[in-house]
Amino acid sequence: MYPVFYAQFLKDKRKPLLILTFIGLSILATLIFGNSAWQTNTTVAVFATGPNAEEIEQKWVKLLNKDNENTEYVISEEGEAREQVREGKRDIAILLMEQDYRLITASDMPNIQLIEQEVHKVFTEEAQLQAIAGSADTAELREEIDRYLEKPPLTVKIKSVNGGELTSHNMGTQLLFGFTLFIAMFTIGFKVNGINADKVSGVWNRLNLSPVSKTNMYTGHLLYSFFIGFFQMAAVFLIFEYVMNYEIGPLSLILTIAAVFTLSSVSLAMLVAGFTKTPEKFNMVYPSVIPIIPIISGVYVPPGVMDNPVFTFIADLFPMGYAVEAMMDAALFGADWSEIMLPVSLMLLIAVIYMGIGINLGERSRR
Amino acid sequence: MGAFIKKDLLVFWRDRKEILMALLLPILIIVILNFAFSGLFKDEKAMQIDISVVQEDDVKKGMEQFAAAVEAKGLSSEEKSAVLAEADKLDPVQLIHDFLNSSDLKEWVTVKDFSEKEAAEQVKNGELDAIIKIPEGFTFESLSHVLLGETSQGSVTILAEEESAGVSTLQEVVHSFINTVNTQFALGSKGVQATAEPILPKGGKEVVEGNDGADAYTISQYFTIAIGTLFALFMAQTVSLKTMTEKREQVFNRILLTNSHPLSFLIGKTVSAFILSILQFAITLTVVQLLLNVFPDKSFTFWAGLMVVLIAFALTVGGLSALFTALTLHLSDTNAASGISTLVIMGFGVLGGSFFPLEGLPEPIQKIGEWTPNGLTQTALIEWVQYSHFNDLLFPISFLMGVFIICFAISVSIFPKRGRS
Repeated sequence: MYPVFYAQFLKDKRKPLLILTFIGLSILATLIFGNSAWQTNTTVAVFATGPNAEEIEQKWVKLLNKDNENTEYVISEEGEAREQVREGKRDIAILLMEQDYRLITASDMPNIQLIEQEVHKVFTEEAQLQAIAGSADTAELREEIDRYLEKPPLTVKIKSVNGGELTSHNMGTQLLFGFTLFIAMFTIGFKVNGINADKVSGVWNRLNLSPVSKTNMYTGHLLYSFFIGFFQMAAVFLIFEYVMNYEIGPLSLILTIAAVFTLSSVSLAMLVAGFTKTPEKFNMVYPSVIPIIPIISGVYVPPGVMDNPVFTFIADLFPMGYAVEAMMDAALFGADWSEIMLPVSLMLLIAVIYMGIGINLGERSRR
Repeated sequence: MGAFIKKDLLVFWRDRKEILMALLLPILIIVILNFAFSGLFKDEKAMQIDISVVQEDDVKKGMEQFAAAVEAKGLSSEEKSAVLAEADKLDPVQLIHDFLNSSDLKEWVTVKDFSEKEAAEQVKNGELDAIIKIPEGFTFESLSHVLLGETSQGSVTILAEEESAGVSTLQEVVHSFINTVNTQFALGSKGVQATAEPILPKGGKEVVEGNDGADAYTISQYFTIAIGTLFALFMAQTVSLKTMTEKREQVFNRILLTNSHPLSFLIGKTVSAFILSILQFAITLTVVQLLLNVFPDKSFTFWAGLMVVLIAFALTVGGLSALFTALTLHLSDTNAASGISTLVIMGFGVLGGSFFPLEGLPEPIQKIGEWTPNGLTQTALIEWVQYSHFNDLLFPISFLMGVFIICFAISVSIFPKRGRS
């Protein structure tokens, strides 16, 4: 086993450029995407027209930005705002008027409705206040009401049924984990493909004749893929934790989950390698299948959105959903070892099954 | 040359697994994405949440308690009766019940009756999404705040197992309702009355103007184009990677010996990649259109424009395929060649926004993304869907053709010459 492992390492050591670029770019991509996912903050361009445009803009931007945490409303120039919407670079811009607004949009993307709700609320509130104050100047009334509302008669609390705090779900964290796992799968697949490359180049046959056992040949290869994949993920998580200072939860837990995920991803790649048999076909199939996994596992959407039973069933066949769930639990909900056992063991189960089928398929006679 | 094109198409045709992959996957993904996104957001009614209201507060007792508190305040009898009369009209618990059973909420919230213990279990089982709990003393506390100016607060609690889309929407709705009620109280406490009917904002959407009644583009159109172009890029890789096999099995060397011009080999790859990606577009678009009606009621001009852009894109795919083929033959290490082509394709896919939308990414990355062939096609087609201005298409088409020409020129220049290899 060790010589096979070492041979893989030597191959990369002799031509380090490719694998280093691969890992380097993967880490870079993860950092960029994870980073921007972490700070999800939509900005919406607003503008007004007419002689007292500036006054209107100032007034509404202040009110719009007051309570809204996730959206930032920025005053911008009319032509530019319209242009950006037109070209699909932004989903929405808002035309402000004295007492009314128009959403400028070219699409029906989901977040438009959210923004519309927010804006509508602000405008309605202001209209009601104006009606009560009897003038356009609502500042004083607003202040009084704000003072009253600091200690409102009715409040809403949200709690977990177990009595603790209900930690709000953080989409940024989920995306960060999702991207890391997703991109690592490519590196892993790229390395596992080495088995197919060895098989077609004849190296595999020669090894077969040597005293090295089949088991050792596979373990050597797969272990090497595992280490490369895990190295990449560990590097990403360490950078997030120590360089960017994100709270990604207890590192020991996260890295354990990452290791198990790497293992099952190696198995998944082995499965694909098993039925594709040549490195070219692997390169064709693997990259087109992998992008579906995060989508179907619901990594890009808040939990509860992907609830179609067929899709959830398919998603359950892949390790990614479990890994993201376990990492989220560890990072946000303070799960401990016992709580991540279930997803971890499911991933291990997937690893065992896929590895078995994959090697079996690979061992069937070719052509 | 015809023979070479035929060869590459045949090699592809022989491998049925591969064909299924290339044709079914994009369709499958578009359908999945469509279900996952548009279904949910387009009509909120698709969301159904089940809640249970647990009321620990006894309204009657609360009222009595409140009356006692008023008594103890030592107000004049007129004030007392005024306050009590106000209190009679105000039942915060009823207010919440009315709200939860209002017709707006009825459409997506189902209130079920359970005892507290049962409800908690149901939530844990996932049968219920949330519990709304009205704790003991709610009536008393909120009434004394509103009418007596005490600092007590009546607080409603939403109990849930974990946050989900449904729960957070519920939370938002309850929040905004409570806010409205509070504002009413606040206004009441200041003794102000509306002097005029509020001029409510009309709001409304304005679809960016085009000369001929622009249409909004939909999220499913976005997916269709993104996934379609992504898989065409994969096609470039698939076709060119066959070169690895041909190199390994000495096919290429034998071709060189047959006295056919080496460039015919390259042209064979290019043309077959072009043809295959056009076929892929045609089939994907037809099926998706029939299944989901992604582009409803579009004119013939629209489809013609779409086709022209996609043909230009297929040409770029051919160019990329030529580039990867030449690279595979040029580099001694075929693995490196496949690694590089994977990196290029993935780079395009990621930067061009085919894997996930680019909004929210740093500006420079978005800028680069617009110049990837798939990103540019995406932008061009988004505009085409809306405005159908043919002038808008000229630039992207010539850009895509330019990419093709550059790629092809590079591949010819690095393609192994006769006699070497």
